[in-house]
Amino acid sequence: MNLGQILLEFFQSTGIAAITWGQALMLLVSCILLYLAIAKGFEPLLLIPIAFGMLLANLPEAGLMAPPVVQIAPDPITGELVSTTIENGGLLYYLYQGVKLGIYPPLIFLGVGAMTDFGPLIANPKSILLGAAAQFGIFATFIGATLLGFTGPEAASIGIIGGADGPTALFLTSKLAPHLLGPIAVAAYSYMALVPIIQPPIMKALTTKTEREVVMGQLRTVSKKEKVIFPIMVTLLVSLLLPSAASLVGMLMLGNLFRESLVVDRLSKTAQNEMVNIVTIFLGTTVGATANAETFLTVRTLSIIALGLIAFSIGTATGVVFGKIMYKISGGKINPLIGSAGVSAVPMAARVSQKVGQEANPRNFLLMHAMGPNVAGVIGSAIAAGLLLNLFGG
Amino acid sequence: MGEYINFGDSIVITIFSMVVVFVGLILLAMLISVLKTIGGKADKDGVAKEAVASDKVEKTVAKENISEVEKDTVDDEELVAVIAAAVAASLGVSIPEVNIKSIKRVPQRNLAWSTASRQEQIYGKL
Repeated sequence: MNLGQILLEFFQSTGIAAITWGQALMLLVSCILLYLAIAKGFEPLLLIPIAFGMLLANLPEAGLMAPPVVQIAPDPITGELVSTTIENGGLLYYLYQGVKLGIYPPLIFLGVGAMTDFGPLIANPKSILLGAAAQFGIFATFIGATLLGFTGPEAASIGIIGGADGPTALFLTSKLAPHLLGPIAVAAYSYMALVPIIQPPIMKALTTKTEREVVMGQLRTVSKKEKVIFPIMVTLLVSLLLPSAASLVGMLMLGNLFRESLVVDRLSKTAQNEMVNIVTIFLGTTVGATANAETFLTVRTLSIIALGLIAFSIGTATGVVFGKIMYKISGGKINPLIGSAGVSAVPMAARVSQKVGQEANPRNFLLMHAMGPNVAGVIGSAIAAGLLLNLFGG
Repeated sequence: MGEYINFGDSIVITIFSMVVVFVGLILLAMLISVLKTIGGKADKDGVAKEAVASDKVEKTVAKENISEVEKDTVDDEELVAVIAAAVAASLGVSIPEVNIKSIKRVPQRNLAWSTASRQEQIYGKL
């Protein structure tokens, strides 16, 4: 064996020799996303794991997302079929099972529940309706996606992007259309980050200045008893109505009960911090890793990203329009701007309502009022996801 | 349900689903209203009791304070040092250059939620 041959064989074993154009392009995309996350501060907590997962999955020959290779052959002595593992599979493949089996999204919801104060919702139950109205974006896009030639389960997974709730979108997609996880995750999390850019023009176009200036009365104080009963009540109601939404809503409300019961402070803190951070690392990295060149670089990905934007915009618009109806019915007491917060994306969407409201009237504090529809939106999109799972999952 | 669905089916699914979402959340809103009558009432008694209890605590604390004047001064000195350091840092000068003549506590008159909103606004402009 001469030196030339050794060098040639070494070169052939490297990733450089095996890289495809698609993989090179995906590596470039992941580097751009990393730049946006680190230098521009675009949702770095999610974008860094997602982009790096994308980078790892597109490294040629590294096999981080490779499934295990198992050989099933008859045993020479007994004649029974015996399975032998030939290759163990990659690290990310195993972490990805938490997404595939629908484990991570409910765990994230446990943390979200422990972080969320449902007080504004309990204080003003009417605002729940705004959280329901904003779910129309999901179904409008669902119709659009079926017209574009997506199958029922695929269209349902694309529509749920309009729920603006990352974990719910991943949960439903992992059950209905796992092959679309990459593009749907990227679309859902990008639009959640872009809420402050997408929503204000729609909100301003649909409301008059007088409507935006409405100052809402102060919310009543909610008792501890109400806050403790609320999560138990929601779990019972939603799970009895829609058993398929039980894992999402149940974990959300368990987290909230940790928070509001005030007797398990340690569990509440763990759910809010360490647990949710650990799961975010696993979820982000493995969701990014589903975006490999073969499945990601297609025309369908582009149409999913476009449909996601439409879903989000329609959800915002129907929320605001419903807000206008409530403004009329209440005799001008409800500011329609809180309607846009119905598209989950807690608490960003509520902040946008606050910001737009304050631009119209500097004395306007809509934040707490918008938190009502905002958290109702989380419950609403979980119900919608449960429904779609019911219709297409079986 | 079949893999591909036609336009009519998707409309039916949409209407059905939106009705379920609305019904579910309206039921929730109604239950919350019921909750208000149960929880709200019980809480008023609770609040009243708590108020009495906290009154007692305040009185005890006040008594303790009288006997612990010395300790209080130490705390105040620390507070003055912290305020002096903060002022010096924000003015960009060293601490000996700052001459504090008096520090007065401004009573907190604002409601908690309006304070929260104001902070939100300040953070938004940072």
